[in-house]
Amino acid sequence: MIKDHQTAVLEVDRLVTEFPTPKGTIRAVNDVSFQLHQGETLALVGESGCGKSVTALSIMGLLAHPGRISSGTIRYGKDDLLGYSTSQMRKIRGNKISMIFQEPMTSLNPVFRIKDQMMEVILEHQDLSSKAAFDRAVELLGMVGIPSPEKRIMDFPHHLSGGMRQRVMIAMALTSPDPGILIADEPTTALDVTIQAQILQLIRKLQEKNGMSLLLITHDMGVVAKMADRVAVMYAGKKIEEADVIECFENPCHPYTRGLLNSIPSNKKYKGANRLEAIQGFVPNLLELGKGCPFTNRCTVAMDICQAAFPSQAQIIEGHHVCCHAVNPTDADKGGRP
Amino acid sequence: MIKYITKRLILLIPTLFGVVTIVFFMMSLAPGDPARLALGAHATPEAVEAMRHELGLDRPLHIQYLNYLKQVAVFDFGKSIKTGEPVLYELLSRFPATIELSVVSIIISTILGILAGIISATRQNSMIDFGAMFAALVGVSMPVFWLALILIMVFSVGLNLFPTGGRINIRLFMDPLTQFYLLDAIVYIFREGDFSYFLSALKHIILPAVALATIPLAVIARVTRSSMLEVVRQDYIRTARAKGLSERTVIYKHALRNALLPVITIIGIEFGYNLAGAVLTEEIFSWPGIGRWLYSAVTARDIPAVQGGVILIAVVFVLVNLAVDIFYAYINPKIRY
Repeated sequence: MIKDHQTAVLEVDRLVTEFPTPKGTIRAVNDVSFQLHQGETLALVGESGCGKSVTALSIMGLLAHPGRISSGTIRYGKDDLLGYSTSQMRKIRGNKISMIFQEPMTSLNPVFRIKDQMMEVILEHQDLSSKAAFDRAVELLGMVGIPSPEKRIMDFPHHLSGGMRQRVMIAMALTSPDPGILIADEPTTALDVTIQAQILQLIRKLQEKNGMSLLLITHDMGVVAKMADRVAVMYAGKKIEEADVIECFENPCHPYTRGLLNSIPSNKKYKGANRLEAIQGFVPNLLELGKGCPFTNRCTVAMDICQAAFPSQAQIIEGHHVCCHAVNPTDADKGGRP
Repeated sequence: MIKYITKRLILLIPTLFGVVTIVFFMMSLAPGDPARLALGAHATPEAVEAMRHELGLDRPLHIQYLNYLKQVAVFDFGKSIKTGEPVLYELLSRFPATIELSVVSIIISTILGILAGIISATRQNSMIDFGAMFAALVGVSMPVFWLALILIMVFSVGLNLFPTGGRINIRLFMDPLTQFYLLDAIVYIFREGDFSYFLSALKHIILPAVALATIPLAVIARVTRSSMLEVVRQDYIRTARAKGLSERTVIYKHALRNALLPVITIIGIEFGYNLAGAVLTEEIFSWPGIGRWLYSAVTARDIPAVQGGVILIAVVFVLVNLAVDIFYAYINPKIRY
């Protein structure tokens, strides 16, 4: 597959998303930047609550109340999506940037037929007759591997299994003749393993077919290995490492990334240990973050400076960036690369 | 679906049997002698005895019961002791007034209640939300008879906008076609081009309908609000927004259709109460409906009338519930009979 790594279709720059709460403001996404290139798959990785989903919802403009984007830009093509009006944003959603969710069982509206839910999004964004929209919906359902789509389209969501519902969600996300970006928020987490593989394969196939870019949000390093071209690792609202997928697996630099890879049961490279390794400690409370690196209290190579300041981004090789005092060449005198 | 409806209708029979039995024995146990009440305090003991014989009250209770069951089986509810008219005839001549009032009032409370609920839910914790929910609280807390009197004081006596009671201006005489005056008056518009009947009927029904609508309105508003708040948090609402649909479509199509499920049940129950229990409203507004009629039948110990009235109300209640269940199944695809 040829990927044009020159053109960034989506460029998130210094995004800060906050949730004011009675106890203080939570920065769910804290100064996160990344680029998504034409036709590539970028995996956004991290454990629950690290801000991956909030990043995705920020891009879609679908933050739940009282969440707000307090600074940064989200550049789509030439425009900053944050400057878009509600109606401009609606033309992007479900058309240029679509999203599928973790919970296929509850993501479809239970009281409408698949037909209505599919046709609705087609008619919203394309100038088609009902008949043409219906045909397009049937075609899409066939494309995502739903058997006898012309019959299934009359079903209600509860007639379908979880895997089938996720296929419908995918079909619904790809109604545009030119879908630019698909954001998949843990698309297979709720599905059992054999169905997971099928859904991932389907997404890959569709991506190769129409050349869309995929922002894949997951905490499953197995899924990352199978799907991603590049990986961005998030921790407590910060992006801490970003690399090419092979580089990420072969030369993980941030202690957290290494911890994540170590906790994969079947990872050959790290198979030496008998016990399944886990990262010690807990994710810090986002209300109680200091100025330093949020991973400090769980980190095996933490130094004094880690408490004091968040490390700046350092480049390991081209395209491999990491935020860690222990590996930052400018901090080499304080310890260097472990 | 037809099978289900048939099954429900057949189930109506044991329900009615129970209702007839309970009503019969309750009325028999109640103190007071209907014959004595019917004839007045000065009747001779012989006359009272003759009346008791005529009404069958001198026979053993179980015989009376069996006789009554036989009658009811062929829709004969006996004659009213007070008026001497067949109970069925009296019921059917008064029931349209009650249905008309109940329908108008439930339409008012449904439309306004659902709207208020949606607006409150979409602006949760705003001044509008607090205002609407406070109003709803006041609405459920206000006794109907008091509200009815206030409405009369303000809008009839004070502002002279609406009449104080009755169904239509007594000088306007209408041929009873359906007995639903609003419908009959619409016929008059087409037949004679005369709007005065309709306007008069409308003016007469507004105050009682508003009084009767207040409590259901408040209940519907609160239930809609909490149901909407529940629904807008669901994943499929996020999906609807992610599809690029307008907020209006998201709320009024995707959210509302789901949020209505519990609301429909409430509307059905409230409508049933309206049909059965608009006694106070009907009394205050001199509305010639079933509630008022039943109330006077109870005070006169007019046993056949009370029994017939209660049975009719039970039938209507069960039918309304059936209608609700059918509509519920229609909007909730997970239920299929």
